[in-house]
Amino acid sequence: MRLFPRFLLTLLVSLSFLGAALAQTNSSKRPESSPRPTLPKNIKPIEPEALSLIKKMTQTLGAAKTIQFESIVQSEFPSIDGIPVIYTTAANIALQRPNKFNVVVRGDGPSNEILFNGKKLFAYSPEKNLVAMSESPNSIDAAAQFAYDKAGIFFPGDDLVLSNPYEHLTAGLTDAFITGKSKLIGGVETYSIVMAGRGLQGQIWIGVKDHLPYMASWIYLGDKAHPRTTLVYKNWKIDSLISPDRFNSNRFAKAIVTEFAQPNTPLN
Amino acid sequence: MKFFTVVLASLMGLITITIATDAEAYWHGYRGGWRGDPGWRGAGWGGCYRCGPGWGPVGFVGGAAAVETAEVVAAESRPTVIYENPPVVIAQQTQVPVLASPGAIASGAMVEGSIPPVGATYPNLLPGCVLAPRNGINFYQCQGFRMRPLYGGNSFYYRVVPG
Repeated sequence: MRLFPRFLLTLLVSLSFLGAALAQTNSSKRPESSPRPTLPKNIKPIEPEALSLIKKMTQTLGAAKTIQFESIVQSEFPSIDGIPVIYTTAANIALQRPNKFNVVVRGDGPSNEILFNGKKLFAYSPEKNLVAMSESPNSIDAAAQFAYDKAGIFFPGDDLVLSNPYEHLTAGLTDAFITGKSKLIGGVETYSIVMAGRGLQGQIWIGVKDHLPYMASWIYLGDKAHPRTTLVYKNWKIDSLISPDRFNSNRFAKAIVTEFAQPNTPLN
Repeated sequence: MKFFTVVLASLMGLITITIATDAEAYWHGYRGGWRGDPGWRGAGWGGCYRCGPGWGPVGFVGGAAAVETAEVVAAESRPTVIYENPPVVIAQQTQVPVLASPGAIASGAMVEGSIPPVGATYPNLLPGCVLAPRNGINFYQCQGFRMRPLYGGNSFYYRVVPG
């Protein structure tokens, strides 16, 4: 008789633990890919050859004093019917280490420009004649982080041009393998490499000779719709001279000045 | 029985700890490209009534909310942006929508003479608004309300502000 209430109490405690666990699972809302079949013993989830190619790519980009490239980005978002709709934007990126970058983004509408001149961060719209400006940390990594924290700003290829892109690309990596070579991407011969982590899976095409990325396509598992974003990188220029005008903010002088603010945050 | 219940409790606790642990906080952090966000939408533009909230830079306030002027006072107490909006509903509820631009139908049209709630955001400046700086800050004065241009989420937008 005395054991029964104690059993009930313990059972309640157990159920509360279970409830907490389930609540945690729901709140994370991060669906993952279904468990994969066990790989044969001679196959490693992360192939060293694949990592080696990623490393060469990131070393090439990391060692560059200047980087210029263009990117076409196609991202899926659901329509109000739930049908995926592809949105396309194009970006022209110039970066000069240690402390300058400029990104001009064109969509099927107004264009935008982000400039970090080593001291300040700017966002400019010629169509709206607006410029947002703010003091900024003085390195590319810190400015990119600041832009993201301050106003949700990120741009295609930003993960490739930070000071240690290899770390970014391989953190959380669970699988990587080479599928083969292709002559159909970017007008050059590329290696095709599959990469997967907990949050996303995809593929990247890296030039055989120049070790530069020419395309990447990622599926985001954290979104229940598993949207895909495909980025094409082209017109690479490594260590070419960039005109100082590219990082000169004087061209924004006649624009109406405003500030950065996330759309869903209160104003000061 | 006692042994069984203790073991059960221990197992449940273990499950909790295992699920709650997220060693790969990397995925929560700075985003873009491989780093884990599908949200690259680039420049803000409009024009697709059926495309959903992905068609544009910010979570647009819906026209339906904007036109309900009786709710404006209550809406002012709302903390920030009201996410909403099938534009089709806007068209049904507003007989004569005044569009800020051809793209505005996807981003929150408003009825002439109505006052949108404070915190509402629009990708384009609403008609009839003129630049009216105050205390060194650039605002646009509209009919009965003010808007402030801001940059966030990879595009410019206009937020309705008090005053």
